[in-house]
Amino acid sequence: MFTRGTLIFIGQRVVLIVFTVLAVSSIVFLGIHRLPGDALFNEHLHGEQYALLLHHYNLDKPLLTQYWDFIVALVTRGDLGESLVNRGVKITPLVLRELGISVELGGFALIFTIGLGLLFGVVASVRQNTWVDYVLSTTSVIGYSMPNFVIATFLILVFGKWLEGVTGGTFYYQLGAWKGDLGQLWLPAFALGFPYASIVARLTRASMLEVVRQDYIRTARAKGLRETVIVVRHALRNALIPVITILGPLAIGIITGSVVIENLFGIPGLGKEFAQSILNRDYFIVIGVFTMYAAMVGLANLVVDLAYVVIDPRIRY
Amino acid sequence: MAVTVRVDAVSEPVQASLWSDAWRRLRRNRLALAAAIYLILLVGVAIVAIFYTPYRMSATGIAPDYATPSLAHWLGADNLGRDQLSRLMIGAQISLIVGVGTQLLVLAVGVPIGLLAGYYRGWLDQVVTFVINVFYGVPDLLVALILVFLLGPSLANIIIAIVVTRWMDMARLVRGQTLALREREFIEAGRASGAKPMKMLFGHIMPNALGPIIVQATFGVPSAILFEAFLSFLGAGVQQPTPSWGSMAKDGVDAIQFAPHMVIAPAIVLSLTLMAFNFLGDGLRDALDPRSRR
Amino acid sequence: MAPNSFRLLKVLCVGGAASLVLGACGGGGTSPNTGGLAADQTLKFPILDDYATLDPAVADAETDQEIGQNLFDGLVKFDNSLNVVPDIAASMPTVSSDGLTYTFTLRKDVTFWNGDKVTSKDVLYSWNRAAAMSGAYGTSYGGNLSPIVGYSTASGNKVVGAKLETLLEAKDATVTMSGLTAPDDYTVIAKLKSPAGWWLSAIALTDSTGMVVDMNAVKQDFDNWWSNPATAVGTGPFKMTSRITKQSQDYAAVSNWWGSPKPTLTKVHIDVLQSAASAITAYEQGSYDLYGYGGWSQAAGVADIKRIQATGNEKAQLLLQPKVRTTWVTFSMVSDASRTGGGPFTLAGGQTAHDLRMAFALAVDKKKLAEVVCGNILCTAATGGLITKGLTGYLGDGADPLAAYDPVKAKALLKSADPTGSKTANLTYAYDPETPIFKDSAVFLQDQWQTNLGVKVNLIAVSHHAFILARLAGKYAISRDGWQADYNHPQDWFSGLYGSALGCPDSGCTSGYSTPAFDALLAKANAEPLDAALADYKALSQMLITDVVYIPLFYSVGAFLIKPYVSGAGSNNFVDYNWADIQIHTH
Repeated sequence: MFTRGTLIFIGQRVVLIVFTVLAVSSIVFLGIHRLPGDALFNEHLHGEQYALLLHHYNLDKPLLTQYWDFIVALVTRGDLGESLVNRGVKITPLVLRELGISVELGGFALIFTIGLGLLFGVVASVRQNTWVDYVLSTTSVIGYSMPNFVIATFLILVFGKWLEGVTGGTFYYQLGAWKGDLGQLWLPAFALGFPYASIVARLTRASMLEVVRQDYIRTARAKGLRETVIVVRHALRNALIPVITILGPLAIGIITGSVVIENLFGIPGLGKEFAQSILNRDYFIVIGVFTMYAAMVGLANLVVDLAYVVIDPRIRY
Repeated sequence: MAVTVRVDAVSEPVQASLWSDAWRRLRRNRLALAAAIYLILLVGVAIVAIFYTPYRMSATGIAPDYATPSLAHWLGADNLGRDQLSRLMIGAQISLIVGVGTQLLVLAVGVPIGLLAGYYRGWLDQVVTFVINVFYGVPDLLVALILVFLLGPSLANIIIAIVVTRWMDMARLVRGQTLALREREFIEAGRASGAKPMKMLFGHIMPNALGPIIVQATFGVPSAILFEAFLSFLGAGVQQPTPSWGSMAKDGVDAIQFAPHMVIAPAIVLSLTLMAFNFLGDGLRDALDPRSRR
Repeated sequence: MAPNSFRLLKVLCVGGAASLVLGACGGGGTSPNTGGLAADQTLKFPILDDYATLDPAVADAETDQEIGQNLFDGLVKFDNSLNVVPDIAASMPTVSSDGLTYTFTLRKDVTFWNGDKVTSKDVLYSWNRAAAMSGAYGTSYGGNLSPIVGYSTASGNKVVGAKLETLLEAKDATVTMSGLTAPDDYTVIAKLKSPAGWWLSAIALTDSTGMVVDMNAVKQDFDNWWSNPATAVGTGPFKMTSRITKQSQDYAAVSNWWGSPKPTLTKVHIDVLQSAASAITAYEQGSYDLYGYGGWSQAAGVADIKRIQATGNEKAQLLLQPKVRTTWVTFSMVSDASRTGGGPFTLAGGQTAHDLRMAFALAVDKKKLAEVVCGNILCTAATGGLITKGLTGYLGDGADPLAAYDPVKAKALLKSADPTGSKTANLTYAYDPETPIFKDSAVFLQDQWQTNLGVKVNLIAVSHHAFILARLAGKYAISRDGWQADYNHPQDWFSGLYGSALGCPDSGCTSGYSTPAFDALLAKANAEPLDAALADYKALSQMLITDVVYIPLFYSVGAFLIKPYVSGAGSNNFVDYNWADIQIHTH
């Protein structure tokens, strides 16, 4: 499946991703370079003390020198620097840990997105122009019209307040219980994934309808294969291709959405860190989080390209 | 949301019948019609709110804090004892201004860029395409969030932040349309007869791409409203005491255990509005572009 | 999402005159439980943001100090009633008759938890280190050591990190306070430049520059020794056993700890949760024994507290404790080339400006503000002057005429001072929105001025740090202001806020207010012993009132939740009661 050309392609993409990540961190770094001093300021600091503090954090050096130090540390050691607020805290391990939490949440959200999306899309296309189709199609529009925080809010209301007797009350993120207690994962993951499930459902439905008219499906039918086999093995496989094209934007959507969802459910992932570090003016963390996001988006796009190869044998790089 | 409009769907030079056909098809789409009626009502409410709200939306303590809905306050009061209904009405203004305002700016930015890139191709097109792809590779909301924090939260800055992060949808669409249209006979003919490029672009190409542009702009409105709600929800919204549905929802979430009515009303109105724009957009696309019909 | 603003609120405890604060400390503490002690003596509570540092030389945030007070000790400390009492010192120091020489005798049984004995050398090392770091690290409270002879030399040091450690070990003159000596292992002598009656209180500050640290531990990682359980060595009843940044922290009682009371708790587990609401929910669901410890008592939402008050079995677990912050509205009293905020309120505006300030003050219903903005729970109306109720210098309930609400008089004053409305057109009130209570009071104030004066004031929300900078630079005609007491002495308020000694009008001053009379009286009061100075400080309060420098809004209140089976937990105005006081009973 992976020819030499594919491997070269992967190599090129990895190089491109690395460059994109560097570019994004550079832009964010340069964009907010004057601001880190803010994080250090408080009501008790005056004049010279403040200048000395800037010096301590190397924030008084020329911008290009700071930038060069930053890039060298990032490239040679993967070092994103130290927090300005929580002294001595290394950013790289911090954001990597938080990335793990966010990936877990995003992964579950993707299960909802793709699982529900494909299911709805396939069912709607198989039952085209029946009430099932209309109900599912309308649900899709409703789904992607509901902001994820609205979905989350209603879930909290229903499961946290109105069904308090059953569920034991509002959900909060409990450290250590994360992997063991799926109950805390389903709600945020559903709220995060459902809007995009609606988009996947619409796309799947449309491309399924196109695929079932193709000759090879007719041939399969003529051979007397069972309908389920035709739908799953032949039609769905090809109908997946357009779905895969939106996985890139989807990944961005889930990353973006996780900022809101993590804040709502109090999940200490990257999104929570992002919002908090902006408020704290802890700009090196902002840069670190952004770098992680850029890497995630690049990886998602790479996975999308590779998925083409797996799904559609005709595509070669 | 990216709307894919297939290039082969671009129609012949504009004919009157196209628009009347579209109108006929739109009228038959009951969901789209209902959505349009809802939106007209919403615009009505926003206009009425300029002159009249049941209470002054910034008046604090006119009801007990967190008061539940009653005859005097149909939607109850918020954490500062302000009338929720009045604030929801003003919030409609904010949402519509953000939604429509950003799309007008997106049109002003995206259409010319798309036209020029598609028409001249070459290095210009390559640069534009590259920039568009870079913007697509960045988490837009997060960039907007940083922008708003840097510029300071205000209605204008929110609109700017949204336009900066969302202009490329329109540019990409118009570029695609232009690329396809410039190969068509009537454009070729115009070019051969020495028409000025500006006249070709805005006099011939743009009118023929108008259908997809309208559809794209219609879908752009709810995405901008959603964006504003997100920003407000994360605390980067319009200046107090001006309410936005997003910031009202945020205040409501803070009190969700104690006063759930505070979050329910803005959440429902926000969702309904986004839904209405999406249904209307679907309807418009089906009407203006029959071949892409499901 | 307001942790950073709380981070910067410094709650420090240089209480001194304890009898004066006793009245306000009465609310703290829970009634002892009759049940026996539980087998598991692990205390669990949530905080809302990680501490910034525990290094006593650097720490200045509330959470740093609330946690650090259980890990580090100084020669003297505050007890729960804010009396200064001996800690590592065997008794209170002897002070020479001229007030310049303090002689401390140390206890001989004090050890760090790693077994290192505490001697006078450790005190010298710790204090010289804190002084030498105060400039180069820009610390907030290095100045607590400033009365010692030679402080200015040490604080002028600019060397940091391992190099500074080398200098300290070599007792280099540039990093050593010459006034600090140790004739033997258990005697420390401090010579002061001039008498400073407040100095003992200053070095008793929780987790601050007067604390003793272990050179053998510090030198292993000069900047971050406190973040690693192996090197976070102190003399306190507890030690850190693990820490996951921004996630959780664990502490264990030090076995055979030298001090008393011996801790009953064996372990303390702290989780960093992401919001007050989820922390309170977690408490209610039984995950935690306390809420509000670690500096987060003022972060609870009004809605949550109201809900708890309406819940029968939880109501009794709520402890509302007055804290030490006053919030007011400040007028820009000077507008010049460097203070560009302008506005109609300046001293140069004479009687007209005075009447305008008075009109804006009288138009605000402070009682309703406390009710609307914090449900009369998380704040109380500030009716007794700038200095928070319960602290030395408080004028008495209802004693501040600026706290009155008189819309009729306000309107009349406005009419005569600004008949056309041109002076008060396009006014903008600036505030920092990260703290919900500041945001809500801005909205309330705007409504009050609109309703009672007919003046439309715009609001501008500026993020906390930028706001502080711009306000000090005089960029706002009218803005939110406030002060959280560092220590219980009126000098902390007046010297930190007004007068030319501070730098007013052009630097370090929010209002720009200074008058020759104010400056002279403040200098006189600061030089006097507290008993004599009190009348002068009250006269200073009256000057601020006469000149209508501020509009008083509210005094802060902290909300704690304590399970019925926990005893000994609570708080005074300044800090939580030590973990060593807490016991968990069977439940």
